[in-house]
Amino acid sequence: MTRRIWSSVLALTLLALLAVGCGAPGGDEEVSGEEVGAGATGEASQPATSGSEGGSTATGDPIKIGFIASTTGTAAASGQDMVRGWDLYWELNGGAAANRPIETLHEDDAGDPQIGLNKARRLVENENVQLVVGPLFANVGYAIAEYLGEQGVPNFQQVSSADDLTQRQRIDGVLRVGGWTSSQTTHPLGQWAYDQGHRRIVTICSDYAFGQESCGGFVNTFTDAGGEIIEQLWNPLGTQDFGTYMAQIQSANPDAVFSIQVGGDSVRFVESWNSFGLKDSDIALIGGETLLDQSLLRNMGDEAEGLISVGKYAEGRDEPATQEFVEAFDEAYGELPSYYAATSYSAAQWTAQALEEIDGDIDDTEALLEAVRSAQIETPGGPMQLDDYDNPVQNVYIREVQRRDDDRLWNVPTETFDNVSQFWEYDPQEFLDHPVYSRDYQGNGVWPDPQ
Amino acid sequence: MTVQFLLVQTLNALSFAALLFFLASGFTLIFGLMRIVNLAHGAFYLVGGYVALTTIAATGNFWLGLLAAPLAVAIAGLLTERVLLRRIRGQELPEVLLTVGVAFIFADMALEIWGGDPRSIELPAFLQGGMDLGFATFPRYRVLVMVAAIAVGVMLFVLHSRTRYGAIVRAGVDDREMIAALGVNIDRVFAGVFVFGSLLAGLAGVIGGGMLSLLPGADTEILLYSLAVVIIGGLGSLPGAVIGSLIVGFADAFGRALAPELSYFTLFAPMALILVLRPHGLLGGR
Amino acid sequence: MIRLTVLAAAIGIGIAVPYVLGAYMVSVLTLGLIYALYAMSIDLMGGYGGLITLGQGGILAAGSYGVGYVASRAAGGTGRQLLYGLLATLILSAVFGVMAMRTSQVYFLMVTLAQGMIVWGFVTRSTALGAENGLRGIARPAAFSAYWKYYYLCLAIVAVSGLLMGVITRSPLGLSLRALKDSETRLRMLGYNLALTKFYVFVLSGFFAGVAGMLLAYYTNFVSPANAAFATSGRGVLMVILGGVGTLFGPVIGAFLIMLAENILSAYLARWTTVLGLVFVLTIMFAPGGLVGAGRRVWRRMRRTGGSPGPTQTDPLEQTRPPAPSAAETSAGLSGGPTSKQT
Repeated sequence: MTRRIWSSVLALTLLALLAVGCGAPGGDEEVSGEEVGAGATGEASQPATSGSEGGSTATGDPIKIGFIASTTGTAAASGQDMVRGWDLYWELNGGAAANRPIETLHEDDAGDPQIGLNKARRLVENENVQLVVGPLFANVGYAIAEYLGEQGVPNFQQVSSADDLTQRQRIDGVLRVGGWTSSQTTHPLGQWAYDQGHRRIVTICSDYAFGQESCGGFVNTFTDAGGEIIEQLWNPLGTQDFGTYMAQIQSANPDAVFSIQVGGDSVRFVESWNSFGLKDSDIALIGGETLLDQSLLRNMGDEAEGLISVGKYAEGRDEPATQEFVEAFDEAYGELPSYYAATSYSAAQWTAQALEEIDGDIDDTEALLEAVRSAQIETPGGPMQLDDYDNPVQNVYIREVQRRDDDRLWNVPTETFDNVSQFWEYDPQEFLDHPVYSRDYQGNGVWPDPQ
Repeated sequence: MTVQFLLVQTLNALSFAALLFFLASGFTLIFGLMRIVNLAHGAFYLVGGYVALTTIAATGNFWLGLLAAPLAVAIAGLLTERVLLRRIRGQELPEVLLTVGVAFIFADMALEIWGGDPRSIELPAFLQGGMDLGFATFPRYRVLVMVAAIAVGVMLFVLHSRTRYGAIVRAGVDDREMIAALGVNIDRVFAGVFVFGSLLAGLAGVIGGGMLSLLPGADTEILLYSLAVVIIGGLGSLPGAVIGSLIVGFADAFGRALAPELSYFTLFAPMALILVLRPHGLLGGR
Repeated sequence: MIRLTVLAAAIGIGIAVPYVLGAYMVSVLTLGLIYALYAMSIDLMGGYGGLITLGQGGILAAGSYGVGYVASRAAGGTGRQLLYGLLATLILSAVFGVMAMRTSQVYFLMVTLAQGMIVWGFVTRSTALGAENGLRGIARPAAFSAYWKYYYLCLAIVAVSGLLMGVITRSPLGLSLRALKDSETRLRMLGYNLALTKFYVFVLSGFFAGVAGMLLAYYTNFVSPANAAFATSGRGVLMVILGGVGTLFGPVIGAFLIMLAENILSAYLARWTTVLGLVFVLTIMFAPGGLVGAGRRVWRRMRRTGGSPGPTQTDPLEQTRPPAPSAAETSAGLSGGPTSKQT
């Protein structure tokens, strides 16, 4: 008897799932012989006329923008920040640009390239979005960039920083609006480290593309200046225990250590750095942006205070463009914004300005891209402008973790490098002739000799 | 490769092994008696850590957290066993798969409640910082973890081999039908073991939370390590859990240092090898 | 008879779909078909042989990477892509099969888990295979690049594969497979070579998973380590259990359900993973035959006009054993009594 009841419950649940699934939007179109995605511009047929944003006074037709981020999975917190940063801009600015309401469709890729691709498909083919912003992870970024390029839908990738996307493997229509390349911030850092007097450095970086590229940038300029990298340690993503590496560092006894980590690894690294006594030693720590980003700093304590890192964004930067954003974010969400939030906010600013310039005519993709490329934006991270390869030229800051009056930690800039491009001071063509930074190629030694 | 390096690495290996032992001992006990491969063990660990985190944050008292977490997870284990596992008692594969489902649910609920940020447990002042061991500084907390593991290990051995309850469990491992025939309430024993194993997992969560960090995905990671430990050491064997923890701890610490490109192989290759050559593990018997 | 009608109807619907639904839904259904093939491959071994694998994702990935590597890095044509895909799959299945063939039940589960993880670890680190960024630019063979043409290709391949698997389960190999699930002891005493049987079915199952992997690579135009991750393997098992283990149609249904849940339910419900977990748990507890099993029960009950319920449905997941409240397992090996106990 009970069995029957439970079986019915189960059947009903599954039916419900099915109903939700089948009731999903799916146009009832005749299949034609034409090939979708064979390089044709423009999207699937009828434009949808969905409701406009509540509370906006704009009168034109809504512009639909797809926003893909990882709001579930291991990077959920960062993905959430991306969403919050983007949404905040529109909330503060009437949810419209060029007199057209902006309708953002949020999709979660769960950190999986497959799911990301499916969501991108849904956004373009079902919802007819005219622009896709995001995602977070580089491998999801590569997956959807290819598809969106085929469909002729522009893609603003404001977070994923895989170097080659705006260097050797560019895809048409993918622009890093508000974004960066992994090595962009570490190039100046290498020079800076040398100028601080460090000569022997050990690097310990996350063993995947982002970590390798960031590290490569640092090693390249540091060795160019004359410094020596005595050892390069690579820890896998998701390293539980940094004790091993701490031992190796102590053994090598360098002047300083450069480290770039992400997510939980950053938290564990900083904690180990302290508890193994390295914080109190003579060995300096120089971090990449994601080692001490606000999204992680929120959850750290005294062990992070005073630590130095480099970044394209510093929430403690004492300029109106930054502080207005920080305060607004804090008021809306009760937390200080991370770089995920800041870059998404910048992307929104950028989009709005470009739209204003083309009078909201987003269907004219060429004009949109032109407007985006020629725009100069004052973002929370400082002034930005796209270079010829669709990556921003922007400020880079040397930052120090300090405690605010309200006892929260944040990154305050102590030095600023203006107008840093993804190629640092190298000639772009010469730079591109060298391979992309990887585990095997870190730019050791002095250029222009490749390899 | 200096002596200092070797010594610190050894301590790293031992402290990680200590943590693994907490987790693996519960895991192996549950399998030994109930033949259930509790794939929700990682999720129990994570939830334990989170509960401790919240308790400590709310009350400022570390000891309360240390108490609350195992208790909370033990209750979760009790519910799982009573409500879910009991109905499919004796069917090995469904039991395992059911624990997978439970793991999904717990992990997702944890994400809902505690969010996706990586979190660490705030240690009380006397546990923080480094201890000067002469040749290097080593985190004080990890030293204490090792001490705690030894203490708990000894306690477990005593319970297992010298108490009546332990005798029942050992008999049950050998022959379930027999002890049921002898009048022992086997259902209660099962529930008890499952709850105890879950309690250990919760405890491991608190300890791990102070050493590593808690975030979505940590449950799967630590589960894979525990699996490796009990497979190598032998499912159902407590001494096996000790040996397995040591082997995995050392393989991980030294593997990472000496051959970082092979970091997953150092874990899974031995595990696969043992499964093929000696499926019952080094000390597991049947 | 019923089965054939249902099958014919399903294929009929399958053919009609692109005329009724739009490009997006057809794409989603194509993915569903690929997953269905993948799930069926797991069921071949698990449902019929009692050998549930937690590492099929690794073999799926082998197929994908075989194709991907040639397409993306080695600039080869379709022929070479397919060849490498097949080779990668078969070699990996053979090696893993040899490793796993002497284990059973829970130990089998764990070996395959470890195997899947090894594959994952390998592709994540291998720069030749794109490491965690994967390989891009895997173009479909020109004749099938349109979304609906590719859909039909997948439909055809999946249908043929399903039929092939149906044939296999009825063949002598298939029957010894089922005997394997019922009682290994008996089979051994009858003189069958257990290990070899398991090996054959492992490779066969792997073959179909590899084909699914290749189809997947062409579908998404890229491949990444996510294909080999534990989540993919786990998802496959989920599909099989939900749909109905031991039936070839069950995994197909399970695959579509999971796929719809992931891609569409996730838009409406943030905690859809919890729902999935709950459904999974409930299925295992109350409907071990999955949807198809439950469906069959309902059908059978409907056909019976009152009267006693038919013979109790044996749990397709389990080896036959006496219904003791706490099933015992003797430590003695082959001293088999009249009852069937597993070694």
